[in-house]
Amino acid sequence: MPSSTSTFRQELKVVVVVLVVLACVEGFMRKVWPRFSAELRDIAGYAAQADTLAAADGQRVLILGNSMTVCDLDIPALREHLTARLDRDVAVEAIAMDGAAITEWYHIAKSNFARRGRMPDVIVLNYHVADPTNSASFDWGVRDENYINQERLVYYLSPADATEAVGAFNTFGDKCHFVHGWLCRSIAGRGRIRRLMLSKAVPGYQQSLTRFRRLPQNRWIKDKQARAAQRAGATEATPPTYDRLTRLIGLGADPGTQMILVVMPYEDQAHVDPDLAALAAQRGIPIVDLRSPAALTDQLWEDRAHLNDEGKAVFTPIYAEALAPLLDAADTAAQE
Amino acid sequence: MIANTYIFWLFFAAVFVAYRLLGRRHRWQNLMLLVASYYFYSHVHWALVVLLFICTAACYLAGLGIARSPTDRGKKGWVALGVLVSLGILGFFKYYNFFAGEVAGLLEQAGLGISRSTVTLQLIPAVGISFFAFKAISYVVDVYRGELAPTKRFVDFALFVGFFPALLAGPIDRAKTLLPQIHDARPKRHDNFSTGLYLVLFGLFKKMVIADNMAAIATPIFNAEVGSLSGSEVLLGVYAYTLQIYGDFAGYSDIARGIARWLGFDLVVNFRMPYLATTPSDFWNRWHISLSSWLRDYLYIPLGGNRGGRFGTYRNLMLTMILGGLWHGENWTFIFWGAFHGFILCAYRVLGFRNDVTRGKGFAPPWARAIGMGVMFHLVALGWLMFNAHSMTQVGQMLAQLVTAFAWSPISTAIVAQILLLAGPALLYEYWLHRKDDDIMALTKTHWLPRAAAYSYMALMLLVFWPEESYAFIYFNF
Repeated sequence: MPSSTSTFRQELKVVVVVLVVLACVEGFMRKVWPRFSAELRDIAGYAAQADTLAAADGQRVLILGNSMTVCDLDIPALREHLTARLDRDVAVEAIAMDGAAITEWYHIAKSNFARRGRMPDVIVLNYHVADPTNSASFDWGVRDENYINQERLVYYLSPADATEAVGAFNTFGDKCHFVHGWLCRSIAGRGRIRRLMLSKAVPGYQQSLTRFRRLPQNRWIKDKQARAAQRAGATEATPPTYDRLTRLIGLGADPGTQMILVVMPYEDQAHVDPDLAALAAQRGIPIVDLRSPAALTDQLWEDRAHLNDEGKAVFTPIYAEALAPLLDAADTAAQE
Repeated sequence: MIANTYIFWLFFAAVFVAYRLLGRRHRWQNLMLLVASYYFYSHVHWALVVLLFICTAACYLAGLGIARSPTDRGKKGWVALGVLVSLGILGFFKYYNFFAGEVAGLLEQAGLGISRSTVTLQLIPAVGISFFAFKAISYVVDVYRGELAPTKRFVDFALFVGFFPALLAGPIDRAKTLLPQIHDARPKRHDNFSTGLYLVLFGLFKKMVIADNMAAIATPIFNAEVGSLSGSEVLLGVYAYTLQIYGDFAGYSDIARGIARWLGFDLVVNFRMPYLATTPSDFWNRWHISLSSWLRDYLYIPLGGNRGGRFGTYRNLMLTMILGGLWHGENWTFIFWGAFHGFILCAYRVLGFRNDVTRGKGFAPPWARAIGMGVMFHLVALGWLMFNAHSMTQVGQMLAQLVTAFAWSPISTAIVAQILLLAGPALLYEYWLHRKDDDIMALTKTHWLPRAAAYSYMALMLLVFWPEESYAFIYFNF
């Protein structure tokens, strides 16, 4: 039987080895990993994008979006369309991250543009509306209750905004997770490492995820969800709030940035929330409804939320045509 | 507030600090742990604390009553009080809606104008009730049998019933083993830290790396329209769920045991490499050991055990397993799952494979043991198909799909690769433990270097393969 002292020493060695391994991983995640991750390279380039836009001639347009913007819009083509359509210089920069929504857009705009005096003339928010009565619907939109990617937020958030960001998380666990990721890049970056490792180590991993997402649900699950929705409906339906959007609008108030909301194409969208429409009308923000353009036929979709390359080529001019009169109006208003 | 959340670990840190500050005043430690346990349970629902207290008080009084009652009739009356209060709480909150709904469904079919919605109630979630009720019942019965002296200290007894690490999903410790640890000053053991660390780390690994990642495969398959799946996907979905439920439940048990060890308590071992079992009885000696031994001691043996001849034994096995299935919840799938396990227990007895072949009896040669393990693993997996299905109709559909539409695809290869990557090393490790005489703590007795390597591997896997979606512990539903 080992003595308690020798056991303690052995245990100490075990703990020290584990801590050293974890410290090495943390060093790798801080120093090496950002060079390998395309998304982190993009995030590191946001400030440069802000500088480029600020230095550009003509009307400066910033598009904030998510994967729908990446898949549905060809930004260089959009720039050309708008320049040709308006017959003047239009500089367009897009910042779009997979799964991003209002909280991330707000902090990106605040950290990279507002705080550095680089606010553009126009900010376009590309989002989609979801049915507010359907709790199962995943809303990558402008409402406050949206999912927030805590692990990504730590990479571009100014330390001064950390307290505000913590306040945006709904649960104690999410707040802790953010702080943990803020202190420890191994936590913040592990989602990307996980996806990369599984993609490399498991042949067909991405296809299996897509397959699982597309499997039709059986009747028992549908019944269960219907009962849950009925119970939720019977108790209380919390109306959506738009605090983050209001703050983002507030960032642009002083430099006179015009905000435009664009509802992007999505397979099964509901109506625009009347509260959002009222808020937009009150603040003079136009909502461009591109939910279901007739030109987007079935073969142009990659999945229910994203267009394929052919769809991108078809949709970009539609988007430009819808945006052009609003940019013209914003330009006129700015000159007055 | 569960063990894979930040708030739980903050709570535990506060409890641990308070526990250490109280030093050797173990009565104060007990009181503090009791308050912490009730606070912990109130996070699920405040009303559950009331039910826990009622059950505790009834069984505490029953224990004292049994000791003071001069006649056997009086003792039986006290036993009845404790058992009925415990089973009453369990039965009402867990099974009322199921049975009332089933009866109302029959009456509705008979045209009597009663529907399910008119008789079912909005009850609080029955989380943890079946675990504390079974602990309390075992105490009362053990006192009645004279195997245990009743405790006079209410705080100690209440802590035994409501000890927070094991409150939500076991293990179901017996009073004989846990109460003395509460009563007496807990001796300082130099291996408490290392053992607790191993159990907590391995438990988190099983839950976060194995169970939750397997859930990401099994859940969409079990929730899918069966016709849209290939037979191979059905098969792999069942395998994934088989690993998920093991990682989930054994992981919780390990974490509970590890936390208890850090507080100086030794909880009962609940899992011992169950998928290496070679016979049904061997499986039940390895899976949810605290429940299967409870059912044996307080149900199977009182029913007559194997004393009533061959038919009586089969009847008792079937009854015990069906009630064991029903313990898991109010669904026909659980009843069929229990009946299926009862059936294979009987079938193995009929075929003469009742011995634990891992100990050299029965199929002694290694190849025969391997076949025994393979067959048993697939029987258990078939049971899990029933257990996790939404209805027996779905079970039939999935089995039909497995047989009639078996096709291998790149997606099937991707699922196999994920299973091997995430669960394979842990299964190999369990086989190594099996080779070490089923000593689940064998790693803690090795040189510090391989231990450090194993812990580093677990920590890295926990860091990287922490699932994108966290799933609640399955056994919280039971």
